[in-house]
Amino acid sequence: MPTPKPLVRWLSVLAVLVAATAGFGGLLWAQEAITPARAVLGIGQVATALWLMRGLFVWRHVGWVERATRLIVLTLTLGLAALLCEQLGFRSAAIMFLGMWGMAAGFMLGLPLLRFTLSGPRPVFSVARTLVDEAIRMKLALIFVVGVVLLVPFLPFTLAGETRLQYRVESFLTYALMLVTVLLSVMTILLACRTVSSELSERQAFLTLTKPVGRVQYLAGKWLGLMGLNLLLTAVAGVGIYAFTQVLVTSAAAQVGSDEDRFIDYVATREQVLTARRSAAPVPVDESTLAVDFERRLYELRLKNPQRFGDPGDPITQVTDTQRDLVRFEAMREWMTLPNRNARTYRFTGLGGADDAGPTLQLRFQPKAAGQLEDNRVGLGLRVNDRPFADARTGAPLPRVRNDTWHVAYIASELVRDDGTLDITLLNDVPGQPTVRFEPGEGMEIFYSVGGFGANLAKGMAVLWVRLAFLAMLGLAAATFLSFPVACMACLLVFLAAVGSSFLDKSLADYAAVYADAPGPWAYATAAVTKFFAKLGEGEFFDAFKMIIRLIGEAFTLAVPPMARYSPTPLLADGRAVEWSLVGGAVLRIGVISTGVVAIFAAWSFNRREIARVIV
Amino acid sequence: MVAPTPADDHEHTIRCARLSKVFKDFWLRDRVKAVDGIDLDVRRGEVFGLLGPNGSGKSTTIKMILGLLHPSSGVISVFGKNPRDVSIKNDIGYLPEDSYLYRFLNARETLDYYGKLFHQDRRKRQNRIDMLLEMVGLDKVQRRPIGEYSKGMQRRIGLAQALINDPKLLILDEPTTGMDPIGTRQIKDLILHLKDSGKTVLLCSHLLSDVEDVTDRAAIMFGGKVRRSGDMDELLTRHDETTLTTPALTDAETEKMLALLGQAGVHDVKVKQGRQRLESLFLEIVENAQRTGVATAGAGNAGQVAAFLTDHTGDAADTSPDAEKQRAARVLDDLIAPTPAAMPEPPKPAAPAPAADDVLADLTSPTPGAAPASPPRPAAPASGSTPTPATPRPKADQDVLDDLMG
Repeated sequence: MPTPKPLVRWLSVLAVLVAATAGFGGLLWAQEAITPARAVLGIGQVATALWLMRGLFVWRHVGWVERATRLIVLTLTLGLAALLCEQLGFRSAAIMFLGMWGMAAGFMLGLPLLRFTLSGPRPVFSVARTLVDEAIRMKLALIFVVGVVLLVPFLPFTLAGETRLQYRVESFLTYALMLVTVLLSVMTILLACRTVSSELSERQAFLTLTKPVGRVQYLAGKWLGLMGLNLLLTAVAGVGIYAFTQVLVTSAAAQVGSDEDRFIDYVATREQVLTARRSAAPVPVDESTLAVDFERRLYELRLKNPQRFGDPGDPITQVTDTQRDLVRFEAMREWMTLPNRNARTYRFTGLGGADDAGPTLQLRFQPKAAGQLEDNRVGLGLRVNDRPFADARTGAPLPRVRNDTWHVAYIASELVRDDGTLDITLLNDVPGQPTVRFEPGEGMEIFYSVGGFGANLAKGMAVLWVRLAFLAMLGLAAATFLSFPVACMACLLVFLAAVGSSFLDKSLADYAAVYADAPGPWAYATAAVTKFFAKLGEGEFFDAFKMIIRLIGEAFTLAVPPMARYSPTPLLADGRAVEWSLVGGAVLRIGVISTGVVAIFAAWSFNRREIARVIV
Repeated sequence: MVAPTPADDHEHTIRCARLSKVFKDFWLRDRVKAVDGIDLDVRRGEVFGLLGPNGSGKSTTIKMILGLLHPSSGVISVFGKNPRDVSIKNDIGYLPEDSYLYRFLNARETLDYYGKLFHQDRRKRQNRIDMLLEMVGLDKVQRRPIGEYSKGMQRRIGLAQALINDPKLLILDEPTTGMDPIGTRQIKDLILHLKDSGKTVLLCSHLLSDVEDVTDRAAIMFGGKVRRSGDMDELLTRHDETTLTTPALTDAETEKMLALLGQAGVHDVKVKQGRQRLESLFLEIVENAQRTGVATAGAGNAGQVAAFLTDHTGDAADTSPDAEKQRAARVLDDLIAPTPAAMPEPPKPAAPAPAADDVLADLTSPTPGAAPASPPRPAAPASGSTPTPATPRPKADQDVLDDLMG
């Protein structure tokens, strides 16, 4: 429809008013006629505002005018709120309102762009665009959008100013990413289930599917619309999280401590949280050390309790994987324990790229003393490649460090050998000091920076978006044969199982133990069936029932994608790199395989379905 | 499934053979036999009426024809293909029994959405949307969400979406439900226009008076079965009586006629004062009110039939906006010529052969200058002829003319 001429006239007058006000006012100001300049500017601004409001009201039915009006109202509302808070001295609240404006404006400006991208003449794009319109105009997605836009800017200011900046930033990242993940996941499931089930029950699907649109095209269009909306929201949330971490970091650090403490806190935040680091865990210099210790422990275990774990001389068939992991963990733990007057060397490998990453490596460790300490501090000797340690930044040796607290020591990256190894020797040589241990896994690690926080956050949001792709397809598939509430419940169940898959696996293994004669799924299945019938024969019906529950549970966790394995939140909060292998793995395992399998099922289910089905 | 022969494809748009549909309950037990072994043929270019009371199986049959339901048994072919074949949907327009539109879209967005499903490019689509909105009288309220429309307005936009692709087969399920008499008349006129353009219309309704005016053939369903079917003339002609229509007669003339018929051995003659149809009276009153400029808050007057729906001669292949505007202008040229204020005279029935009896010949010869007291049901138009539209067309709005003429 052509733009009416009066609209162009209104725009022209508006432009003239703005130009005239700025022009005359500026000219008078340049002539140092301040009072006339202020008068002209004041009158001009009032006239411009009145003319603008008149036009926005008269042309409110024109699409872009309506959007501009909303943006102006939003800007005025939140801008005035921010200004008021600033004047009253509530700077945090002012920043919060500005943040809300930024995210809301970003969403409002991104939406027409998304609709334009989906404006092609193909049926898939048409269905996708209608879904975006439905999500916004029917308010379903809007609730979640408002939640993200309001809560993300609000979070930083709920964290106490007395805690260290590094912890505040870590907490903000953790809570913000969890909030965005949960809100967008629930929104995607609700939207996906609703759009198909409501169109089938309210019969809008009759009019669409009697047009030359295949059923697969219809589902593909719905999925595309959901992914477009998720992309916009993920981008807005990601930019918002990035912006507010910068706000947190540039605002005052902890209110306690000296200037030097606050500076150290700021540097630590920049280098340990708002970065992308790769880590290396320690291994024994002699690689067989741990393996020998593991075998020894296993032998002793079986010697102590042959009825439960089998005789030491027999093949090991009665020790479950969980029990093996526990024994291995214990071996590792002992190896990372330093009794008094003992030293141990830990080798870090795979540090070949550390040289290019920067001048320093970070040795992060958390000592835990096994007894009382006078000043709650632990004294440790530290050698790097058998040379005394000197901090790469300060040149100082390792000081006495607080017990049960994380510490970082900076090591010059030039000390890494050509083969990418670095040896760290720790000495517990303070007389009378109790045994000091380090937790296997994260108790001692070497970090080196491989990238910036922004790119790392972007990769993390990309992984989140891929997870949403699976949930969108899952919701659409469920809605092809289930009603809306049942489809939502089923999808939420799958989602919870997916994010808790590692916890579920361990719980099921403990719930009903199965001992296989040999490794492999076939031996496991045989052992499980044998045990089931054995339990039934013995009259232990509850144990037999537990076997069935375990098998069903394991089949379920096998089917759902292991989202826990592809979760960027703990990585980003800890300043760890979201590796491209993780992104690629998420795309392949969740985005292609899991989503693809569900998509095939959805297509099959929808093709078989009678659109006008009646249950009498 | 017996595939239809190529000859059948050309002659028949829809063929159903021994078609049945049984609805099952949640436990997959047979519960309701909605359609029971019906045979149905809809020929190319005709208006076919599928009639029956509520629950007779009409809508179920239509849904099977559209591929929205699977037949329990039997065979259906549409344009010679399976109803689930996506390619045939290019040529089908469907107006369902209720409004199944998106409430959050406005009229223009709704038609734009459905137009894109037919892969129409933007110019062609926008052009057709403009014409359709004007045709159904919703151009002034096109920016209002569908959820705020009245039922009649929703039916109009439903009709517009059914025509967006200029379909060869138009399936209308209860098209006049919720429409006022003006809208009903316009739908009927539209159906006749479309038929003249060679389109096939399958009309499903339980409002028999609406169907009677426009259909060529019909099938009457009850209890899932077709009870009778055939040409409308065949179905409705009563062979046991004859109707004569004369100009107004005085009592004396009436007595004289009865006496003459009595002498000829014709007794039990009923004489009634001529009556116009209620629909005609209603339309006349509304037209008079519109002519005097009385305001209305509802849908506007519907415009002429969109040109792309009816013009398939000569430059019909040219669907460019300029060509379509020129065709629309030619249609409007017809409209702005002086038109009679009253209902136009329906075609007079052919005069029977003069009887040997002079009195009968006197009675049946037309009296000069007299208009018929009530318009009879329009006779089925001869093939190739254009039936006279039943409603008087108001003088075209000059603004509309200016817009179309550029």
